[in-house]
Order: sequence, then C-alpha cells, then structure tokens
Amino acid sequence: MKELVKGNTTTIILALLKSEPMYGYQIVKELNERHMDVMQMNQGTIYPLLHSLERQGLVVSEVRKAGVNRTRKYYRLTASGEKVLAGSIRQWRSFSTALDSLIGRPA
Amino acid sequence: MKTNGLDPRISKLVDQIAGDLGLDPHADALLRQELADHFEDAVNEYRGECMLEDEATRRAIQAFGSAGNVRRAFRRTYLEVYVMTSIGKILYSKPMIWASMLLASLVALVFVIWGGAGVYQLTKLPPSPTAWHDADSTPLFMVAFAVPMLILFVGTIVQWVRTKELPNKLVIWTAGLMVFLFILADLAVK
Repeated sequence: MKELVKGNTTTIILALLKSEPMYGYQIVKELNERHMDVMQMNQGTIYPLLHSLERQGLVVSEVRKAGVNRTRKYYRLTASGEKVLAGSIRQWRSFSTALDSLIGRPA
Repeated sequence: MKTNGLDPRISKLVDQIAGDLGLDPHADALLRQELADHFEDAVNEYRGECMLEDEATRRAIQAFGSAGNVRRAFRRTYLEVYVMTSIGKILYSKPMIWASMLLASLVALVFVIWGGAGVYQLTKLPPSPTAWHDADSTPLFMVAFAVPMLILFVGTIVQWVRTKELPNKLVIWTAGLMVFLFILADLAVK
C-alpha cells in the first residue's frame, strides 16, 4: 500500500489542491483526516514535492498573512496542473477498471 | 531556549534541511520560513491536545520524518540550481576571476595591436576619393573587429569593478556595432 501511495503522491496532492489552495501543513492534515490508515506519510516529504510541482509549473505558491506576525505559503493548481491531474485520473480509472475485470469484483 | 522564536531543535533541523541547497537568499529565506511555519502549526496542534511544549516539539519533529531524507529530496528538486551555484562558486572564485582577466587582457592586447596596425595602414592611404576603394580592405575589417572588442573588454572591466556582474547588454550592443562596422567597411571598399 505504501508503494501505491508513493507512486501516486503527485496525483494525490494535485487532487487536494483542486478543491482549494492549501498550505503544506493543511495538506498533511487533510491527508491524515481523510484517509487515516492509507495515506500516512512523513510530513516532511510534502514540502520537496510541493516545490518540485511548482518548478514543473503544476502549482504556484503565494505567501499570505495568517494572523499577527504569521505567514503561510499557499499552493494552488495551475492550468497545467489541472491538465496533468485530469490525465492522471483518466489513467487511474482505466487501470482500476482493467484490474477489477482481471481479479473479478468482490461479491 | 528559543532562538529567533524557534526551538533550537527545530532551528537545527531547518538548517540541516535548507542549508547549502544553492538557493538565492530570498528563496532560502522563504523555504526556511515555510518549514518554521510547519513546525509552529504542528507544535500548536499537539499543544492543543494538552501536551507540554517540550513533548509537542518532540512529537512534531518525529512526525516530520528524517531531515536527511527531506534534504535529499530538496537537493534532487533543486539539483540544477545547486550544480549551477557550485559551478558559479568555482567560476567566480578569485583565482578564476584573475585568470580570466589575465587571459582577456592578453586577447585584448592582441586586438589592440591588430586594430592599431589596421589604423596605421589606413593612415598611409592617400587622401583621394578612390583610395579606399582601391586599397586592400583588410585594415578596415581589422578595425571593424578590433574596436568593438576593445569596447567590450574595457566595458567588462568597468562593469565588473562596479557591480560584479557581466555586461550582458554590452555584449549585444558591441555585437551590433561590429556588424555595423563590418557593413561600413564592406561598403567603403566596394
């Protein structure tokens, strides 16, 4: 399961950012709250991934004030990111449909 | 005891992750702030679960994962930046700068002598309208090439002394000037 998550981390992050701009810790919390047992990953791994996605042009970041003397760096999906996400979702659906037909759906 | 508002353990971890990635000062500061913000959020959350600050900090660091792994991931992300910065550190080191200046000076000296010879030959031409057309065109082209190179060399030295930057615009302008002078020289001898 860990390898599955590892191989699809980009899609997972892009899917989260599709709903709204988020900052790093918010993404970590969202992953933990939605899929407690499945999506657990070391929190620190989020940040190099977000930076990588930004360098690829799939997300953009902006620093926003978050209270007195506090800032947060928010990330949001770009048009390129949306295209990549859509492509990944299509691929995943094709794959899971094919796998389901191969292994037989559960009764 | 906190330094810069950060627990020393967190401060050390941030240094370990963000140090020497080859980022410019602004990007480096942004990354460090982002990591600091993460730990502030994490510690606050654990404190909200009634943990003492020390325990909350320990849990936040543990949940963050291996600093080494995160640093390596950042290094991979910024690899070309790191490589270019490392190359830049070598190229812009004092010995390399002095070696480059010496080499450029020797080349410029050759051009100055060559261009000077061209000017000398031009001054030997008789003052007649057809002299330039009849004369060998080589001196004109020597001057057309040497003058912009001399301007570029002097301009580079001046710009470097003033701003420590390479004169990218000057390179473009002198290339344009060279083309212009070449066309003039060609028209003069036709």
